[in-house]
Amino acid sequence: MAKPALRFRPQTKAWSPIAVVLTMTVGMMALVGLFHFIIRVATA
Amino acid sequence: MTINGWIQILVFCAIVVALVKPLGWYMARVFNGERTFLSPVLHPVETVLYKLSGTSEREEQHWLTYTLAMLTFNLLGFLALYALQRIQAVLPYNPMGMGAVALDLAFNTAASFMTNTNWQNYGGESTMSYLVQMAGLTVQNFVSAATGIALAVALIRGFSRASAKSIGNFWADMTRATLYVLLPLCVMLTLVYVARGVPQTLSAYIDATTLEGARQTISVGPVASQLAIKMLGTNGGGFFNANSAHPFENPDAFVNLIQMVSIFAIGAALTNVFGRMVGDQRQGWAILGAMGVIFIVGVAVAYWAEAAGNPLVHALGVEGGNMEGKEVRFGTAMSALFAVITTAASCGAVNAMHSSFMPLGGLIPLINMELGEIVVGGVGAGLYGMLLFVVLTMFVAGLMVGRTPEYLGKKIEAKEVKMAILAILCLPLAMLGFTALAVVLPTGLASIGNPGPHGFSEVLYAYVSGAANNGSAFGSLSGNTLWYNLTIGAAMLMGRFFVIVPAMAIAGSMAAKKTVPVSAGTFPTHGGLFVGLLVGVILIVGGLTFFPALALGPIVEHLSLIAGQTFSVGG
Repeated sequence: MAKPALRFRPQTKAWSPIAVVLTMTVGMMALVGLFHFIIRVATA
Repeated sequence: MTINGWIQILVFCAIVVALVKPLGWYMARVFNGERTFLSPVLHPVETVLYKLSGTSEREEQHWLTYTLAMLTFNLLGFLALYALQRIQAVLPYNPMGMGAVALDLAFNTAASFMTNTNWQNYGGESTMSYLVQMAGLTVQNFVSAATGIALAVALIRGFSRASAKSIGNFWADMTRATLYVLLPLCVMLTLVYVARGVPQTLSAYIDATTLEGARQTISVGPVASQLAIKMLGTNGGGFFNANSAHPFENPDAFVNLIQMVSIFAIGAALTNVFGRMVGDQRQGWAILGAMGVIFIVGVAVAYWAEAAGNPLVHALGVEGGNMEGKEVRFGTAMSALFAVITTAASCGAVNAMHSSFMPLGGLIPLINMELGEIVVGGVGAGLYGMLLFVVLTMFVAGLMVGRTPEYLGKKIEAKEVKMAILAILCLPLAMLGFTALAVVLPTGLASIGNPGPHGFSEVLYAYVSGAANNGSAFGSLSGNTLWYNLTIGAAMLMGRFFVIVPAMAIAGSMAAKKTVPVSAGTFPTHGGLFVGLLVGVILIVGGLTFFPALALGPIVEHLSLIAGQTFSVGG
């Protein structure tokens, strides 16, 4: 049996779910923006 | 059918199979948090994202937390895309001055792209600004695909872990799927597409004078970048209304082949990820084998139907296959193959018009979607859909021999079976329920473009495509109405989330179980018997559920055609 993919650590850190969702949404848009920028530079 | 056609089909299959192991190895390393050749460049980006958001790749989540994180992330994505469409008129990168998208259409489109469906009740080149295409639609293309991959990996962890309370971290899985898998592959594919002549520009549309002297507006835009993720993420939403039948979106046979391989690449490789993570690659090959059996049968029937052509047209002295609605540069073989691939996966891109297929040629895409697109399927969605059928198969096998069913050393008990059945039954509820309403209500009937059984198939296909999160359109149905925008939107949401939540519940339940040692009574799940039983359960469940509806549509249309009966408007 394969070892667990990530080590289990209890969820002791009280992070704000809203902050994570907002940051990740903006972060993903930024990544896709970066993707378009790379393509623009590569095809210039 | 021709030898040439079959050689092209077999070349496609060989390329996909050849990609399974290397891509599976790479993705398994990514989702196990191990170092890859891209880590020196991408790991710092990943770390920054975790730090900014206040989460950590080591912060594991219970299945419920994992699912809630996914749901809130998708909800925000839905709201962002909806807002972008509504205010696009006052936003930049709108050289053609596109106005605000209507309320119901914006809802339908936001639901469509957020659920990885990409059903389009609009023409991209005449409705969406470049900003909406890039910052709205393309972003959802990436994150909906990444969500599917993350969920599949979480379910795999459910099977691979023992006595565990957690199934991974959604943010880490989703980020890794985007950063390490989708983005690098999309950069490569976009450059290939640009090299083959696919436009990639932010310039306005081009006004040209044709050879006859007429004025024509030629639509261009950031097509190649959207095309790459559209196929790789099994999204399917075209930049142009004609999708991959448009010469700018699919210029030649080489690009067509790359597009078809892109659709299957990640989904097929995920079976290998499954095998690696559960510690026995044969388990992954067995699942891919079951997918392959159903796929090849579908391709054979669709290709045969299209190559054989229409007997009523033959009677008029016109020989050959059915080329209505097909691009000459692809022919019957590559059009039939593309149709089967795009509906076996939850892609929905088309390079031919499915409404113009022969009745049996159109039957295969319908069946593929009705089965829940578990033949490779959508990225991630195909694997977790197939694993639901595996749970059901092991339950049936257990009933046959009077033994508690086991899979990968885990006992499958009442909770898992109930969840699997719940997920599997919600699809026919959305597909057949909405179809039944649409074909009795005047507002639903008003959009049908063809009389007789073909008209019924149009409606059935729309809801099947929506609920299965495929997004391909049969054609002929006028879908941009308040009724179809709202109900197909609802079907897409049901088909996505009513499957995901039970699947994640199974993941949590399986992860918590202890592993039972293999004994003489254990049913081996890596051999031909298991593959045969799995295929049988899939076909029987699908056949029993959908046969009556199919009999009213493509089957009766086929029988009528043989009898020489056609249906005409007002006739």
